[in-house]
Amino acid sequence: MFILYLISALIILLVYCKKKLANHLFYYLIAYLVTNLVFESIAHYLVLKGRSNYEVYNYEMIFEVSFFLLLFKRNFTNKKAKKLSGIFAVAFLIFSLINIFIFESKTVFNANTYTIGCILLLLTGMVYLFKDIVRREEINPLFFPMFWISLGILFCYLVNFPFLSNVNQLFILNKRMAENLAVINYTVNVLLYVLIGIGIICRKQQT
Amino acid sequence: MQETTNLDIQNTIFIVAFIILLLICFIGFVLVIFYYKRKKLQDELQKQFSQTLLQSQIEIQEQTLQHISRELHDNLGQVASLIKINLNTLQLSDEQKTKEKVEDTKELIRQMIHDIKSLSVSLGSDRITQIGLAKALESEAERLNKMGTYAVSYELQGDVPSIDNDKAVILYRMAQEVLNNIVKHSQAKNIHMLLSSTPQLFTLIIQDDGVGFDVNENIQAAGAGLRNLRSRASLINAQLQVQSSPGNGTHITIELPL
Repeated sequence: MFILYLISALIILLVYCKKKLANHLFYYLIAYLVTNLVFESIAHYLVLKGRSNYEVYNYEMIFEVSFFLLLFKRNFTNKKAKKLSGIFAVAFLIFSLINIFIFESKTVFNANTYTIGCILLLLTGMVYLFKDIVRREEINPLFFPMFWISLGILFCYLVNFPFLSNVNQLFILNKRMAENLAVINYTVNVLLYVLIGIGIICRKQQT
Repeated sequence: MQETTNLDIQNTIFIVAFIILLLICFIGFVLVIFYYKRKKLQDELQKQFSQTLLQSQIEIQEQTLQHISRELHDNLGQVASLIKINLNTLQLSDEQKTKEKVEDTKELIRQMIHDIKSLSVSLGSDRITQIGLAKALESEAERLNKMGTYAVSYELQGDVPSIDNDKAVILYRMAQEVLNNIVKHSQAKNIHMLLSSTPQLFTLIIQDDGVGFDVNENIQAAGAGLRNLRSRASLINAQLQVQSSPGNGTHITIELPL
């Protein structure tokens, strides 16, 4: 179901690009969605083969957090915030690669990386939403794609943060709870894509 | 087994519904905070605008008072002295000479009355509101011309723009600041002031043939004059462009969307 949502989001974006309604933001989103689709497909294939897919999700998480930080960097109008989010992205990338190869194993979910990534993303997202967009009076947030996208990112990482940063311990404690967490994770991710879709649709109405 | 599956589906539906509800609440919460912050920012901006407007009005008044003081000393005072000399040197025995001096004095008094009238016009604090921005800028050009140091030309292209009074006051003050800077620093001989207006845009260009300056250096050194101009321009949503280089004069453009 998750892959289906990704494919449909991709189709919507491709259609909009073809209609020349897109700007560079949509090309970034396409790159993101295509890469995520590849990660998800590999993860799904591994599950079908009965193998662990943690390693794939560890890499996907590094890609996703770095991508969103760079997306914020690209959209910030404040130069300091732009620079800081760029530094966050590079620092996170270095930290997560060190963590995956030296501290936490590839075969378990890298909760430390996720926790750090979450904190950085939530901080950057909130600054972007409440300091940057809020000052741009010419923008009606309801018709501004990055408003919806940053809302989606904030919601997704806020909900996932308490669960996924402790997911390894929760798995040991209660398998049933872990299954519920998977449902939460899927739903939140789907809602993130829905919000990205809303952003694109709202922009279309404006044009 | 069937019961377990039903329970699983119910559980999943409950989780999904709960998260969707959570998202709706989250969006509502973010929107409330967003609009509250925006309102607060707008209030601050409005306050800042009012302060700048008040400051501009005070500065215009100061400038006007300086102008009046100069006029009283250099013009009216001189004319009054001439009248006094004329009257003191009246020789009633020489009818012809007396007649000439009385006529001369009458002419001086006429000139004085005219000068007092034009001074009284410039005394009004809401002069810009009364005569309009274009006319106020034209009289500013005339005033500079009278000094004799500069050849100031004034040109109006298009219709006289209708600009909000508060914005007009700030624009006028910006123009005064530019002209003051020209007088103080430029060593220019010619100044050209151009006002053009379309239904969408009002443009004011002030250029001189003075010594000019390095714009980048001035911005880095955060020159108070340029900084003031920029902050005032941003308050009225106008665009300010400064083009200058040493030896090539200065060209300042202020564009205000209507």
